[in-house]
Amino acid sequence: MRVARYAAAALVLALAGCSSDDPGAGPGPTPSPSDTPSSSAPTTSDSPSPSSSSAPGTELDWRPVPGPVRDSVTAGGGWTVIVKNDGASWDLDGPQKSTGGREPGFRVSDALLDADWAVVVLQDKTEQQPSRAQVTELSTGRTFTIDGRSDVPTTNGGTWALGDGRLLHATVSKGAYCLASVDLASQTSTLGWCAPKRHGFNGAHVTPAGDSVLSFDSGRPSCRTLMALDGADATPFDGVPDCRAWDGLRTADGAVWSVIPDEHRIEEAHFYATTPDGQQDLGPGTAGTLVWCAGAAWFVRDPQQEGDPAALVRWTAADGPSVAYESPGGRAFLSAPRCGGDAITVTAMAGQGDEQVTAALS
Amino acid sequence: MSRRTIVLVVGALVLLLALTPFVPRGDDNGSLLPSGDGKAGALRPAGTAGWSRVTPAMQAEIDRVVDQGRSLGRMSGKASPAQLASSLVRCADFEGQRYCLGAGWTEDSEEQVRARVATAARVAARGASTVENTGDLSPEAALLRQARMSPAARAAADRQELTMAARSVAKVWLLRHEIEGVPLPAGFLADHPEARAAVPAAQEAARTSTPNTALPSPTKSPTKSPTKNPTKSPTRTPTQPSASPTKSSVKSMSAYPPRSAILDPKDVAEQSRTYYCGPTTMQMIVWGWRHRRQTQDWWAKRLHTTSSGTSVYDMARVVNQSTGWDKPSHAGPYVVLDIGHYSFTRWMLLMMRHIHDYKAPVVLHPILLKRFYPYLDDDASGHFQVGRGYAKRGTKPDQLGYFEPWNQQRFDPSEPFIARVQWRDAYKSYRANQAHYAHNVAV
Repeated sequence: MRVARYAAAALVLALAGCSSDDPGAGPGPTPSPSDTPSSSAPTTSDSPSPSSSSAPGTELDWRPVPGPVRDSVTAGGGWTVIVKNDGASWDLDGPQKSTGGREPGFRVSDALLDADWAVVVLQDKTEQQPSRAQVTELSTGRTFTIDGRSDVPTTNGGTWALGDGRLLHATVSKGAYCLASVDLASQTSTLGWCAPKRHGFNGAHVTPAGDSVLSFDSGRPSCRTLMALDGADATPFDGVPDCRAWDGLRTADGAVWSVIPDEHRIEEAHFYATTPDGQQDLGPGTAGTLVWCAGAAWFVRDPQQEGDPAALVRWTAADGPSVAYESPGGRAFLSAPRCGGDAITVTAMAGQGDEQVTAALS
Repeated sequence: MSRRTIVLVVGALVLLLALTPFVPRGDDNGSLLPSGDGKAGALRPAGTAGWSRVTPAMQAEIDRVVDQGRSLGRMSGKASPAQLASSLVRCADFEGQRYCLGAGWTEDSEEQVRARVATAARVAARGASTVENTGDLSPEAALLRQARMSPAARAAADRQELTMAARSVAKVWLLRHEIEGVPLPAGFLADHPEARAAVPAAQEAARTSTPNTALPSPTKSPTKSPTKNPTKSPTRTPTQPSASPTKSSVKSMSAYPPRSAILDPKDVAEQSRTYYCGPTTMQMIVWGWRHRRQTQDWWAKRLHTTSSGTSVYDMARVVNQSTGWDKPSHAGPYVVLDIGHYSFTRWMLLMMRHIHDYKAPVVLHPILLKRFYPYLDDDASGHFQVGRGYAKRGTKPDQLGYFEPWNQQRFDPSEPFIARVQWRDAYKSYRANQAHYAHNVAV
């Protein structure tokens, strides 16, 4: 009888341990003390105000884009590419009109526009089949397709970039993951740089200073390296810390790039630029939002203080960084800006109302 | 320690192990059993309720909604999304709170929920707009899954879902009360002893105090309906509460400490299949409770995951069945809660309440689009993540901490690795949750 009583007591103790909130007792959860940050909890230390590195707003005439904010619009040169219905279809509006998409199993992944060309890329939703790019020559209305049957075929997904009359896309060649360049006027493709084994890349950019990608290895975390590309050759950007890069593009003086200070806050990047005088700190920004447009680099900055608007930052070596656009009030953030050659478009999601606006740059 | 004592302790442990299979955790396919100890009035550090009793009125309502579904007979999967939604999305009224099959607890009308599901299913069914599926069950797949069931199987599934809902009604009322400021119905404590410890006397007193009009009224705040005479109308809308929200029932954000985080950041995993965000999220949630990892395939089986994904209802069901996060000492029964009418502040309060007061993870349910997650290379589908922390940063924007199961690198050489443990501007996560057609979470 005593044995049964002791056993029951032990059982009760054991069960109590199972439901205890004490992290050291039994299989309960191990909540971190609320007043002690976990290893990954954000700190509240102040960093320099980002706005201190940005000059007052660059005056641009921002105009609302007609239509639903959820449609993604890229405008410029009298042309507009509208990606509708979460990528189900697209319209090209301008002196001539065309439409596309609505292909079962495919959706629009990229819509690119400059003064001469419009490119809409359809991606297989399962990322099994090669992507298809419909290219439109704006001056003539001539269209053609770049896909898995092209001389240098596309592959599923991957990065796309337009500029200087060329279209960059990913391809696979002899088992290697490579970048192809298409001369759009002649419709000739060239195989470019191939990533080493167990490496990939994305974030391709074309600027007057040259092409670039973000290369990374298959490590966890990845070691990420910005590469300047010249044909089949690749050279790491100068002055960028090892393995921490995210955005990057080339300029006449060097580059604009970002690094991720904390891998557990992957959206919080810090931007830099090379200038004739050295390196310039452009302040914090949002990873994945850097573009080149009309001779300047642009990136998004999330609000740094409660009540701050989200901002679009413009940078040139001559002018330095300046805030070119601010979102409506309340909590807010911006999509990555979209360049249309001579205009830039951005979508703001804000507590006081979403908006999609565009501004001419020349 | 004497030999006799050792024998006693070992014997007790053996007995414990022998009894473990009989501890009420529910089974994978059968009815759900409570995990709480049911001691009404026991001290509960978090203000939540345990499992409720299924009253005769609730049972009648469950039977009504199940019978409606049974009367549909065999259904054609070729029916339009609108037809499927109008048949399969049916709502029950449990003590003035509306629960819609597949959608969860909502303040929308049945017609509104049906319209929302039908529209989302129609868009998804076009195929062209379907994005990379990381594992959230798409609306058209959810409807087709239901439509293809035999009437008996569908009735059993509906009954299980509705029974779990009915048994969590006190938790839902408390959430409405404590997050939205909706007054508790008269007699709530008498009817729900499982909630008694959760309602301080001050709040009970405040229930009858002068309405505070400074707080926004809920868009559609349900009030208690007669529990013994459930209304038969399938499209009824809950009436307005008898009193407006009371300020004292809502814990403000300023009452919370600057930051709080739960779960060990080492207990994380990446999904091994593109459509495994549900099993991987569950793997991490249960890992945080049991301190033992089970395979994603194991969780996929229990979640009824297919290549079309996992439903948010199944996420709540398996948390309740497989962990103790549903104990009254933590979150109480997990429910699927529509946050479509929530402001950011209310949504953030819900996160804080869950993480700091309940010390229990949230099943986040965002849509994984680049405009909300700019580091992604592609837009993707609805998704599950583990909400496990918040940080109020003084003058800086609030952040949300979460475990991200989606490692884009694993499936695409054009995308770099992303760490599983992430912190981000909470407003972005709020908007990504709101942008999902179902705009709900499992809490």
